[in-house]
Order: sequence, then structure tokens, then C-alpha cells
Amino acid sequence: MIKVLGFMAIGILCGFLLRHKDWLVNFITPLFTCSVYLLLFLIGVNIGVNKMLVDRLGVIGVQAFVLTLGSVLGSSIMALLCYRLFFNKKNKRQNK
Amino acid sequence: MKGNIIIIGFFIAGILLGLSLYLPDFLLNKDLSTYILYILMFLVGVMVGADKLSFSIIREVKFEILVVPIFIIVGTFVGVSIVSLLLDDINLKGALAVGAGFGYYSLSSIIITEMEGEALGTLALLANIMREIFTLLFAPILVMFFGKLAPIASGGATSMDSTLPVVRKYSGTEYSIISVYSGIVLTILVPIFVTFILKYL
Repeated sequence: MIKVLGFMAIGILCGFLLRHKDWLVNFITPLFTCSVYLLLFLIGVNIGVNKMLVDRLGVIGVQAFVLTLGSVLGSSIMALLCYRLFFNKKNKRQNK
Repeated sequence: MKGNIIIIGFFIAGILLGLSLYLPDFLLNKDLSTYILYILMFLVGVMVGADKLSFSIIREVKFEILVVPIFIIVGTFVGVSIVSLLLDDINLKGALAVGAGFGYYSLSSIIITEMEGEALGTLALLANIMREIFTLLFAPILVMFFGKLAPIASGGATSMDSTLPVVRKYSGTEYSIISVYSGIVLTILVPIFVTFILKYL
């Protein structure tokens, strides 16, 4: 899986070097979208052939919802803390 | 939002094809999805690297902008760890890996599927899609209760593109730069965190 990170690093370098070429963005975004569609389709196929997993989709949905609440609330509370610590103070200073 | 529906459509179409008997064998070849994942990672890199904002932002980062993603990461990991106690068959490692998607469902679910199997990968897909949709729908409520950084935090990696419009609308345009910066940092960290959590935890 280190390979995955390597591909991303090469991509960042390529993107940075070619960042002034407008055709690149126009070309990359639909390509990216299509590969996401294709991959999720393939993930779907692999779930579909796995009867046990299909039966559990409802349970997985509920678990996903609980984890979503955890991540949204956790990060929002920390965002509030960050805001109070660093952002409010700055605004007050500017107001003076 | 439309993008989400199309993506879920492809996912459901895949499940239905998998359930049916008319299934070409090559679709079940694991190598196929691995190669597409490599292509996808390369494309993500190119998009981050070519983003005109991303490098101009680095020049003007100030301390308070720099720390925003750190707070988001800590909040996400603490949040999913706590709620994972409510879930019988999800262990801490699984919950952290799902949380490390930071809303980037395509990437996180694919990497998790490759490393841990379809069950956790599906959970990652659903949880991270929900995180994005939740942010799009409830950004004004998040701002009301948790301040102007909250939609950026809730959006996670998506705050650089798909949830950026709601951040601009409800936190204000002056938060765009923080939003894009935080989204880019988290996008780069998604594959790194997911890989390391699954491998070393």
C-alpha cells in the first residue's frame, strides 16, 4: 500500500509541474470522476456476490450513521475550541 | 449532491450485477481494482498539485490556519473512538480507519476494501458519504452551534471542493482559504492515515 502513496506523490509532482496547462484540469477531472464510478461499481459487484454482506447492508448503514455522528460532532467540537483559541482573539484585536 | 447520487447509483448497479448470475469473471479480479486505485491516486495527486490555490496558500499560511486540520483530525479520531464503544462489532482500529476517510469516501473505501475486505470498506463508503451529505445539509446548524470553522471540520477532506460552497455561504467567503487549505491537507493525509492505521494499529 506504500505504492498507493507513491502514485499520489508522483501525481502531485506532475500536477505541480503542469499546473499552468489549462487542458490538464479539463482532462483530469472527468477522468477522475470516471475512475471513481468504475471503482465503486467494482466494489458494488464484489459486495453483491457476497450474500452475507448483502444481508448485513442495513446494519452497516446504521453503524455508518453512528460513526458519522461521531466524526462530525467530534471535529465540530474541536473546531469550536480552535475558533475560540485562535480566531475570536484575532478578530477582537482587529476590532480595536 | 448530483455527483453523490450518480456515485451511489454506480455502487447499487454493481451490487445488483453481483447478485445476478450474469457476471463476467474479470469483474471479480482483484488486480483490476488495484490498478484503477493506482490510477485514481495518481489523478488525485495531479489535481492537488495543479490546484492554483494550493501553493499560493502555503505562502500565506499563518499559525492559526495551520492548526485547523490538526484540530479536525484530533476531533474526528476522538469522536469515532467514543461512538465505536456503542458498536459491538466495530473495533477501535476499524472505527479509526473509517474516520480517517475525512469524508473522502471514494479513496478511503477503496483502500480499506483492498486492505481489510469489503465489510469495512462498505462501512467506510457509507459513513464518509454521510459525512459529506451531512455537511452539505446541516452547515448552517453547525455554524450556529459550533462556530464558523465547524462546516470546514465536518466537511473534512471535502472542504476543498464539494462542500466549499456551503462553507462560503454560511461561514463567509473569508473562510474559503482556510477551507481549501484544510481540505487539501486532509486529502493528502487520507491515504496516509488509512494505510498506517490498518497496517500498524
